[in-house]
This record gives sequence, C-alpha cells and structure tokens, in this order.
Amino acid sequence: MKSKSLKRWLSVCLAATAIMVMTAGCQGKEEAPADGGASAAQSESPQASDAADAADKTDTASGGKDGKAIIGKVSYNMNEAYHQAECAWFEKYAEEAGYDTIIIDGKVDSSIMLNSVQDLISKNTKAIICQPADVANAEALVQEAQNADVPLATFVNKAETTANPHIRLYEAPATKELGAAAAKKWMEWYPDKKIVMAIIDIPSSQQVHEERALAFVEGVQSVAADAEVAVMLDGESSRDKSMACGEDILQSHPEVNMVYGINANSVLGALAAFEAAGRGQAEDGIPKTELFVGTDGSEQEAIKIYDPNSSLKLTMALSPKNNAKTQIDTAIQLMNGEIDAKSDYEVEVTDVVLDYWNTPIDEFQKFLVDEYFSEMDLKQELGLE
Amino acid sequence: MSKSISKSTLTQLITLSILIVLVVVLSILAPEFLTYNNMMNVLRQVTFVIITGSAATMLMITGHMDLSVGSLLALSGVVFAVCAMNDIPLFLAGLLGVGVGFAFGVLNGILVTKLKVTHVIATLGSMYVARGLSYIVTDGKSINAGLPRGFDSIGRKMIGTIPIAVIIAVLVLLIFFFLESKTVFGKYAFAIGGNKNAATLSGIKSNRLVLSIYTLVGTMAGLSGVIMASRLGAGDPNVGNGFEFDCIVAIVLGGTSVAGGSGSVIGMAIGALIVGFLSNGLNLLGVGTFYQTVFKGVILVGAVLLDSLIKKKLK
Repeated sequence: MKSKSLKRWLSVCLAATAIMVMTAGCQGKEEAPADGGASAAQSESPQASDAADAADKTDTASGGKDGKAIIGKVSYNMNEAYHQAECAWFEKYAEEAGYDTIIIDGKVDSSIMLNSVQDLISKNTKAIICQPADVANAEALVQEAQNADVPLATFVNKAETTANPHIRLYEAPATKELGAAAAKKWMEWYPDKKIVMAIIDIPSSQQVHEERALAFVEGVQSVAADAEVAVMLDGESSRDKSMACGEDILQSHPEVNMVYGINANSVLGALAAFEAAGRGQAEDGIPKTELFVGTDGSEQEAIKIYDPNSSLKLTMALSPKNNAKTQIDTAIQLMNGEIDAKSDYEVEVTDVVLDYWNTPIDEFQKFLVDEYFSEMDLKQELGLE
Repeated sequence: MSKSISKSTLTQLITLSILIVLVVVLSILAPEFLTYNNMMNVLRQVTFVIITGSAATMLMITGHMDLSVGSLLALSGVVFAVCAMNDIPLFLAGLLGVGVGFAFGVLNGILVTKLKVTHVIATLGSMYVARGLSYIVTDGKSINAGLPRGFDSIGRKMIGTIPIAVIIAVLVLLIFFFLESKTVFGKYAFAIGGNKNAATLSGIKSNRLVLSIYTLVGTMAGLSGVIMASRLGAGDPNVGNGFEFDCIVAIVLGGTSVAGGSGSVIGMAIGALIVGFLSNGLNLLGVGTFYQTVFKGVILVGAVLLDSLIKKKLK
C-alpha cells in the first residue's frame, strides 16, 4: 500500500515536471539573451530593417508564432560556450528581422543532424543554416534539403559535390598569425631553445585539422624554421580527454615547450595536466617551461591569459555574434531569392588573435560581454580590483 | 479487464495507449506533426532502433544485453562504404558490412556462453574494439568520396511512397515477432530468461540459443549500419554513439524486463515510436535542447511507472 501510494506520488511529480519542462522549454527560446539586448540593439542596421521587410514578404504559412516565417538552425554542439553564444545571437538577429527560429542541437552526430534537418523541413522552415558534422555529412544534409526545396546554407563544413551556399569559416590566416606570434615571443624569451610543439587536435574534423592544427604549425615554422611537432593527439574536444592527452605528453615528450589546443576545452584540459605536474607556470607573463596557445576566446581562457603566473598567453577568438549575423543575412537572402539555393555562393567569416601583450584587458572584457553575453568581471576574477 | 488478457498484452496495450496520447497531444500542439511526410520522417528515424531492437529484445528476454550495437553500426557502415569505394559490387559490399556485424555477434556469443565473460563486460569490450576499428579503417574521417551510384539506394530510395528502409524494418519486425511468438526458439528464449538452470535441466541447449541470439543481434546491428551509411551517403565512424541506449530505452518502454523472462518485440517497436515521436514533436515545438533531454528522461521513468501502477490497479 505504501509503495503504491509512493508510486502514485512519483507519477504525479513526474507528470508535473514534464509539463513544467515543456512549458519552460517552449518559452525559453523567446527570452532575450542576458546582455544581448543592448549590444544587439546597437547593431540594428538598414540591413536589419530590409530583413524585416523581407520577412513580411515571405510566405507566412509556415507555422511560426504570429504567422512569422521560421528560420531553422542545426547547431554543431550546444554543449560548447561558442555554439551557445552563436545560437543566442542567431535568435536575437532573427527576431530583429521579424523571423521565428527553431534551433536543434546536432550533437556532432551526422545521423542526428540529418534527422534534425528532416524535422525542420517538416516544420516548413523557410531556410536552414547548418554546421554539419563533417564534409560527408554536409553532402547528405544539402541533398535532403534540396530534394524538399528548402534552401540550406552550410557553415564550416561544405558539401563537396553538390553545389550549395556556404558560409566559410576562413581561419587559416588567423591561425598562422597566431602561430607566428607565439613563435616570435618564444624566440624572444628563449632564443637558444628549439620550439617543440604538442597539438591537441580533432583529426576527424577536416576544417579543424587543416585550418587550425596544421595552420598553427605552419605559422610557427614561418618564424622558427627548425620548430618541430613532437606529438599531435586527439583531445576529442573534451576537457577530460585533453587533460589525459596532457598527462601523456608529460610522460612521452617532457621536452615539449609549446602546446596548442584547437579549442578552449583542448587547451584548458592540457594546461590542467601540466599545472598538476607543477608546470604551466609563468613569471610576469613569461612562461617558465612552455607556452600554451588556445582557440575560442572563452571566459576561462581569458582568466588564464591575464594571469601573469599562467603560461596560457594567446588565443584565437571566434566571433559568435558576427558569425550568427552572417548566417541570418544569408538565410534572408536565400529566402528572398537573392542567393540561388543550388549555387556555390560563398561568404567568409574570420577569427581574431587576442593575447596578453597586445590586447588590453578591457578590450577582452568587452569582447566577452559583446560576443558571449558574459557577466564575468575579468579584473575582479583576477583580483585586480 | 478480462482475465484472458496476458500480462504481456496488457503491457503492450498500456504502451500503445501512451503512444496514442502522445500522438494526439503533439498533433494538437504542432499542426505539422500529423502529416504524411513527417510520419515517414519519424519512421525513417526509428528504423535502426527497430531493426536492431527486434533482435536485442529477444536477447533481453533471455536476460542478456549487448552494449556493442552502436559501435557495430558504425563499423558495418564504414566497411560497406570502404568496400563500395573499392569497386566491390554494392550487394556484396552490403553483405560484407552485415557480415562484420555477424562476426562480432558470434564473438560476443562465444565470449558470454563459452568463455563465461559477463555479458556487460564482453559486449563493452566489443564496443571499444569495433569503434576503434571503425576509426582505423577510415583514419578517423568519414568516407564519401568515390562511392558508386546507388550507394544511397537502400537508405534513401522509396518503393512507391514508402522508404525502402522502413519496409526492411517492418519485415525484420515481423520475422522476429514470428520467432518470438510462434516458434520453439522464442519459447525457449522466455524459458531461459525465466530460469536458465531450469531451462537447461529440461533439455534446452541454453548456451547455443543465447549464442545464436547474440549472432542475430550483431547481424541486425550490421544491417542497420549498412542502411545508416546508405542514408547518410557516407561511412561515418562517429555514428551510433549512444545507439545502444536508444535500443535499451525502446525495449524497456515496450515492457521487456531487464532481468529477462518477459517482453515483446511489438512492445519494443511501440517504445521506439514513442521515443521517435517525442523527439520529433519536441523539435517541431521548438523545445530547447537541454529541456528535451530532461523531458525524455521524465517520460521514460514516467511511462514505466505508469505501466506498473496500472497493472497493480488491475490486479
């Protein structure tokens, strides 16, 4: 009897939770990002008002709220700060332009991404923006959308054989610049120590491998021709896996004096391993045993970069705000017919290099607030105020 | 409620009722939900769970589990793609892909029945080996270059207005339903799950039967992998992460006991549809991804609790 009553109560509680979660989930997407309102409002431009006009012109029998047309997005991986920020900006810009959005987490899984594109097609979305899991996945997504006559633009990974509009994340120049800057600094501090690199990579992602890992090495070698790569490991974009990689590097290649991580998790994971072993230290911003270089421009990287005792000193920052804006602009142009949905149209977005020496802390703080809706006070975190 | 309705039928009726309620609610909330195209989408999406889950249900009825199916799905898909890329005729390439699943199924069966390795450990080991092999075969990258015309037929093409993959899934489901309910093979599976020692003492060759079901599970995972690769138009070593849990969720939702001895293939198919419709419906409703995860967990536990509550009430 007791267990019966307990089960009844549990059922009621679960039902209530389900309703609350569904309600909260449906409402969640309408909330403006914490700090995005002000920044996004500043970016209201003639283009945005054109977009709003375009939204009115678009066929509105699409099931969006108040008859608004829907732009769909399949995000690469909503567990990462960059993608969360990009999605928040995506919603914000779409809203300003008069569109509804549906954003689905692709979870870096090609089958989930294909399912998501099918769901968005079912929802009568008027355009879809998608960052496919890889080049092969891009092909399947593009074909699925084109078969259903729904315009789809890819971001980062582009279909190789089927023509489709693409937003190219052109990172190689910035990564080379990052590598060159890191090498210059190292040679300035330790001119007699040959650079020995370790790279925490994601080899399964062609874009990341070529435009980050290999481009970084090229950048370093453009300054220090004798620099060599001791090891390139797969950190799987995960903090704990990258930390394990860092531990392995310490065992197999203790001579490593420059570590590059292809994203925030990669560099921070490896750095944690070095710190646990008593390395990863700096004195007045000059690394004692090795220089760490990251990618993303996240809050946690910023804290390390401006800590004079940490050896993480540079990062290549992505702009979720600019990338989302480009995605929305592309989606609107696709809906208006300004871009042919079956053409090889391409638009580029790039990254920027931020570092301890050339980027004032206030500038990085502004970057975090503008791009990531950060509420963190960087100076306070570092005990500078 | 008539006494003639068995416990298993009752479970299926309850699960079916949950599915119907879910479909009705989602149809009201999302007008696009109950359209032919969307229904086909969902069916295509649950195809893999139904194919693999059909065999895995039989396995769970015997009190065993196979955690390697997700990795086998990936490995079979990449083997299919590599073979097709190397000019092996598509049908043969598909057979080789399915054959990889078959081989791993036999291996799992031998590990569990002959070498007495716990089923969780044995299939966990296979899971790692198969996943590692998929990365080795593809060098960690998806294979889509050089695939012949027709590679995507089984995954994307239709017969009339019904996707081929869905037709295959229905056929597999019917075969396993027949095996489970109309053959001695099925009855023995229930007997082993109910009490393995008693089944063995009464003359059932338990180890041989369990080994053959492991082989069936591996083969079905292989078939799913080939269809998945065809659907994606690529052999992707990363697919199928968490697929084993998708299958387990569908099987448990369908009323199969994790401890063995009871369950049904049809119940698993209903469970797979519940998960598929829920996932699709939440996407159509624009429910945030993090909320979806919580919601799915709540539905899973809630459905099992409801099932148990109703059964007790009817007693």
